[in-house]
Amino acid sequence: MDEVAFRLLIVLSWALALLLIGFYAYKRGLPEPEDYFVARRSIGFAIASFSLMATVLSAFAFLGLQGFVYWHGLGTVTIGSINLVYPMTYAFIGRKFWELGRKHGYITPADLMRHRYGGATGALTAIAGLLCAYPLMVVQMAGVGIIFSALTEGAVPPIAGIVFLIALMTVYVALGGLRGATWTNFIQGIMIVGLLALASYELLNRFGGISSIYSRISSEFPQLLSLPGPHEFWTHQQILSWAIIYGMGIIMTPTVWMSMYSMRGPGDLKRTSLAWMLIMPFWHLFFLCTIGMVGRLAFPDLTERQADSILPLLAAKFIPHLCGPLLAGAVAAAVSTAQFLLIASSAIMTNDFLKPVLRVSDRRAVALGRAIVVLLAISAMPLAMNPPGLLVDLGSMAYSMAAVLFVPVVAGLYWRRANGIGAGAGIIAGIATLLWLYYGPKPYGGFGVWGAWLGFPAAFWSTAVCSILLIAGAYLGPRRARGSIGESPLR
Amino acid sequence: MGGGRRPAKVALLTVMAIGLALLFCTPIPYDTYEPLFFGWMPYWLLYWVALWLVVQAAFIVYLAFFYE
Repeated sequence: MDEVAFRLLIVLSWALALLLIGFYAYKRGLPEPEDYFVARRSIGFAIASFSLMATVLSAFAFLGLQGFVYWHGLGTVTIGSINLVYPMTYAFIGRKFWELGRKHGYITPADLMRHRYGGATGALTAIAGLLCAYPLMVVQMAGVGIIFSALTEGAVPPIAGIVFLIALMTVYVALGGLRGATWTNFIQGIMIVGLLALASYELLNRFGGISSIYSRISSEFPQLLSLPGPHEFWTHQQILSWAIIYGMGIIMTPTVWMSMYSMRGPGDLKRTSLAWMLIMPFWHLFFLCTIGMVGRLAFPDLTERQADSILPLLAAKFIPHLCGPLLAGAVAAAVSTAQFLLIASSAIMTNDFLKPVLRVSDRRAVALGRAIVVLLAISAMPLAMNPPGLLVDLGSMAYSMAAVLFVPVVAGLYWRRANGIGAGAGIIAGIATLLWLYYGPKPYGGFGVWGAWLGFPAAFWSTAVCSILLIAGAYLGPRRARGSIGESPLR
Repeated sequence: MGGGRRPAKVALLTVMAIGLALLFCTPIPYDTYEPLFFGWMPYWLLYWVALWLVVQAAFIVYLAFFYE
């Protein structure tokens, strides 16, 4: 059989499997928002673990981060610190989220913040959640089309790929809700992790093992082993900031936040964080670094942009039998991230904005949620075909945007004195700081995605500004914020 | 929580906090990667991985005995 036809057959089988799983989730579901958006808080740890990995690992993580190792050297391994920060916050904060979610029937992040700080902070959280989720979803969808086209060697144009995959995703997410998204992500998570493990293992064997690879790197490209790396990227400020952006930001994205509501119990939260801590370091320490370093030895003269394609390049030359499956894995990585963002965006739109205004019943809220999934997907389609610069920028700063919520959330859970004025002002000022440092006039702004002021990226400063205002509001503002449940941390 | 469990819990949380602080804020000297361990591993990576494993071990013990 023709190679491209074989790859298309794989993708179509995968699409059919996702549809069947989505349909099965639909048959198991009940017409209640708590069932549709948080799966009746019944997700166990095995499903949740791989589903979360698939959600967090985007197409960039699957394909682009190896290019980071290629270009910025072994310092990229310090991103692995998120594998400490993330499971810890997931276990500690997640337990509180889960308990409060079950007790008070929370569905979206704004529910918790509204309960603790009042309606205005809840609305700000919902807006920040949408600003994080929707652009990131569009960027993932745009990536899906490009990778799908590469998978079929141009036989399927990117536009057709985008339409096909968005339509597919919309059907099973609209039908199965968060349960359908989680189950399909479980399959895709195993596929993504398994494929990269297999590719790394085969490349390690072909290049004589870890010791041989790094011995060659230390003699041929010693700067790659140094800190802050050949292009002086991995400074201490960057290392600290990445822990903030990704360790705190990922946990605050609406997708991960809602997944904590959806867990079956604290034991599942514990085992999920443990699974992440034990599996994901292999991703950073072995998969990423092996592929990036082997890529440097095999193709020493790529530009920074070409280095983003180092995995497909290596696959084509050294492990051609894995080339098709790896590109299919990249499609799965993008789809699995986008579909969870789709259901989270629908939950925010339905639960935080439309349901209170339209005063609909629970049964109608689910129908509304399904309609919003379809509308969001349709609205994303033209944007994904030609993503505007603003959406791409917002997508790239999504985790930084989410990280702004971290301090108000932790203060809300554990600090009696924190109030709605401080939290609201902190969130507004944090997001404004972020936008200023991305877009503001130079020399005090306009640093872009990786740029930094005094060595610290924008997410560090936005978190710092948010913290200062939260503390100031707590001491200078009223002791009891209107609309909140009072001065006490949530119980 | 009774008996000797509380001091053990506090000790584990302290190890995690100090370990994370060292992991993110240790001023590793720049522009050098030597000495190499095992013929290939730069010293900063050995330090980083060792700290990382200490924090991870403390967290796993915490999860096993104090979480639920």
